[in-house]
Amino acid sequence: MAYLSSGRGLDDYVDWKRDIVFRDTAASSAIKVFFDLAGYVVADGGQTRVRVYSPSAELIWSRGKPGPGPSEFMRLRSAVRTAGGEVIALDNAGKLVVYDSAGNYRTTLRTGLMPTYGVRLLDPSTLLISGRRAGDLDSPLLHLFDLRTGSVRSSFFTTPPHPPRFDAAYRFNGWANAAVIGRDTLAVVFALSDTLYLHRFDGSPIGKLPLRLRGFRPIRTPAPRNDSPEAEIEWRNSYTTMSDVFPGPDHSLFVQYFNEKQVELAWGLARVRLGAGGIEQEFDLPETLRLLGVSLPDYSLYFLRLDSLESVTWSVGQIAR
Amino acid sequence: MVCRTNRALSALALLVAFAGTTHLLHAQGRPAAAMTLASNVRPERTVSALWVIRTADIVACETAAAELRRQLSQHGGSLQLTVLYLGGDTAVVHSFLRRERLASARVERGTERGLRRELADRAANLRTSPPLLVLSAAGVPQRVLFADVRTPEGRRDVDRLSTELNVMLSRTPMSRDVALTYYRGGEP
Repeated sequence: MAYLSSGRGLDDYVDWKRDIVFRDTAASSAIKVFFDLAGYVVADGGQTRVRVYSPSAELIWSRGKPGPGPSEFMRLRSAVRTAGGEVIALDNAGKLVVYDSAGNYRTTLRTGLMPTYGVRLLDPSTLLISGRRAGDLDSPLLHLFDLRTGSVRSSFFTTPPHPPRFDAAYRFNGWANAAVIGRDTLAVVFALSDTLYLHRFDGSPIGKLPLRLRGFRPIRTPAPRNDSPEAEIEWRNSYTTMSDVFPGPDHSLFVQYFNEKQVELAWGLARVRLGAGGIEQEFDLPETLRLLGVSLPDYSLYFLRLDSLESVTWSVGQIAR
Repeated sequence: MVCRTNRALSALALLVAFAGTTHLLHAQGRPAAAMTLASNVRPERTVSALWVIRTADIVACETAAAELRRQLSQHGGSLQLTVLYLGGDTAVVHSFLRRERLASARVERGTERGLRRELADRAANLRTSPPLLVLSAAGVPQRVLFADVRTPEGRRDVDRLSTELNVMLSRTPMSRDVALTYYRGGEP
């Protein structure tokens, strides 16, 4: 493999620093990664494994399997690590499993949310969980979970207005993700909307700004009513999904989206800046590598390459100055 | 992520290809290209894995792909993977295999109806519901594993894949004898 370049349009904007090769046949595309100075916490939804790596990408421990029991997950979604080293993993059924820094199971917390989409660590005692209240079709999508009390403190960000014929799509394919920008501001993306929503940490709205992404295709047809997987694939191939948002250097944001082609995902990435006149775009690359995340404090960008049977590569770079 | 989890498809295809009949599997409207379980197996001590999947299995997040990657990586050319797709246009299965880093697998098309018709009288004691893994050595099917890792039974079967392949691919004469005994139904 000869990487450290060919980032499909990214080369003009990213200084590539290194490639990290994981000799890992198990890792699937359904991964979420948490980055901190202690290394990486990988939540592999495809394999239902939480894997903790050192900064040099050595596997330290690995836990989890499918199921309802302790240290088992009903579709693993995401994981974070606290400043104290505890790893907290979230599954689709709203269960939070807490491990100590050595990977020993500590406890399970119930959020009352299902389905869930992701989790971010907002401050030492607060998780920002993306998901829906179990059984509530009109639930808010973002929830502040207090680790001290083990309960949801508040919820906000309801599904944006949309035509009624898209109700099913907005309920079952509409999720939200958020990035912390500044000391008290969240940048939120909703899966089916080409818009950036700004909220305070307490959930109060600040405003919303159009993103105007080149590769974005709005949803135009309702979700298929029949049970045909072929019809569902065709429908999913017809619109764009906003997948995530990450903080960037110099008060910028990275907004990620994807278009489905058959069952593969074509990842798009835009870098935007919040200016006085609205959103200023630094770049918008409709087909590029998937950004796994951004590690602070140096804003290293980790891109995923899944093109080898035996290994997975993360290409690491920083925005070119 | 974009996974379909909550829809159960009722269609159950009957497997399976015991006997390696050349007319066993039919693509829509025309016979499949001489697709037999035996045809995948050339040298001795090569094992073929036939992964029988439908579109419904492809759109599920959890599949046996990771375990197959692991086994292909471990056994190299001794393990040949063929995907038998019980569906129409194979573009979706090629897309799935690229996504799962298994793009080198050969893809064949079959139909559930064709399988049922050919195998109805042989299926009584066989696993019949896809997704399935049919393991063959020297052209002779040896094991049928249920490959739906969304179920405890399927996970148990897929967990057995490594053991099954290690026995089938054993390279010492003694081990081969053990394997033959094992697969004839006796205690090794």
